[in-house]
Amino acid sequence: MLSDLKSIAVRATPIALDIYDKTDPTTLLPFVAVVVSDPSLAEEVNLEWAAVFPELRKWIGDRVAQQGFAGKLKIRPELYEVTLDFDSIDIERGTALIQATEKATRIGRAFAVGKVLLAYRVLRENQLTYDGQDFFDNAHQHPDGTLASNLVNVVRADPAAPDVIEVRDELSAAVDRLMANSILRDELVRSDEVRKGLVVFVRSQKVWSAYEKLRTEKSFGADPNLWQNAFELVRDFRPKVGTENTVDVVLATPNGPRPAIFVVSREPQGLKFDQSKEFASRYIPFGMDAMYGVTPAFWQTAVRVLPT
Amino acid sequence: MKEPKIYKIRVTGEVLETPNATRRVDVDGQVVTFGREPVYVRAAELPPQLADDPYLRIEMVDSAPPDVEVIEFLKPERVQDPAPTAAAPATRKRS
Repeated sequence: MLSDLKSIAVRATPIALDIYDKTDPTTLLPFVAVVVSDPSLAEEVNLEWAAVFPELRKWIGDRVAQQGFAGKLKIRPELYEVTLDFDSIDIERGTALIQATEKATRIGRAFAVGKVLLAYRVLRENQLTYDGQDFFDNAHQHPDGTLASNLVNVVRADPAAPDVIEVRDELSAAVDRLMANSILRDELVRSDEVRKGLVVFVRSQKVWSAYEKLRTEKSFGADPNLWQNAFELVRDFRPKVGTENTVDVVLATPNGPRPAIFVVSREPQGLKFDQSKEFASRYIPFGMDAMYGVTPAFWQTAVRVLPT
Repeated sequence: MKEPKIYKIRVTGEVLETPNATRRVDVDGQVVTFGREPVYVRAAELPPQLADDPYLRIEMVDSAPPDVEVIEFLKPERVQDPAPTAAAPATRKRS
């Protein structure tokens, strides 16, 4: 029994890790979060903005360690796990390996997808960010003290069912606001990069339909559609109550800031099997665990469209 | 008009844990900053932007300490619009 289980573990573990490794880079995580590795397993990770985005400066006199303009960000990484099980009788039947392999695939994928949802919660739940404001708020403040908002109020004939012209206008307004708010770093941003890095999150079928039309139609009458393939469209199927008609637009320029910071303290190491329950329940749980921390970060990189 | 009351407002622990440790709230164009130290507000009814904010700790107090500024959110008393007069029943002119 034990040797059978070991043999299953030896074969299923690389599958879970392989699926995870293949899926992880293809998810939306890089659009939503700056991923930082901190293998110290510290209970609390303190990040300086400057450590995330250092800038080149002229060396005059002594070197100056770059300090974050907003103080330190505290992130508390937590353990996450995915556990499934299989029937120990399947070992005798000879079908356990197939089951474990198939489930290992799902565990690997669940980790990759789950990381995106952890980061996306910053937007979905409108979490508190470093300046003490809700992530989407009308009273943010730039480093120079000026107030800024990443809420864009728009008018739709029917707030729940916009037409393609309305969403075209609101997407333009959202990008305008993103560019106005993005004075975070001393950098030049190409308009092409803006278009490459736009991700639009919608939360209802009717809003999706209008945005999908905007993303795919070649033209509207005689006018060419300048938004064709100009953004990624993502549907959130479990929005927070009251946000169903809203749209979040994220500007993810290459290597730039993101709405969240995602700290990887420990990636999944492989499948672990628990035989202690087998005597009582026949089932053998197995799964993977990892340690991640997420914090809301750069409100400048996203806007929420609020229709009325 | 309701009697104005005084509210003592601070931010919650979640806000204090952020690097800024303050929270700004836009009340009809007036931006008020709250932090560890209490801010006193006088209002007949607390604006919903403050009352519904889960990151503010709000207590009603009898008075503010002396020499502490109290922010006024007193809306001018609303003058009741005259009730629309009942339309006179249409009468048909006799031709």
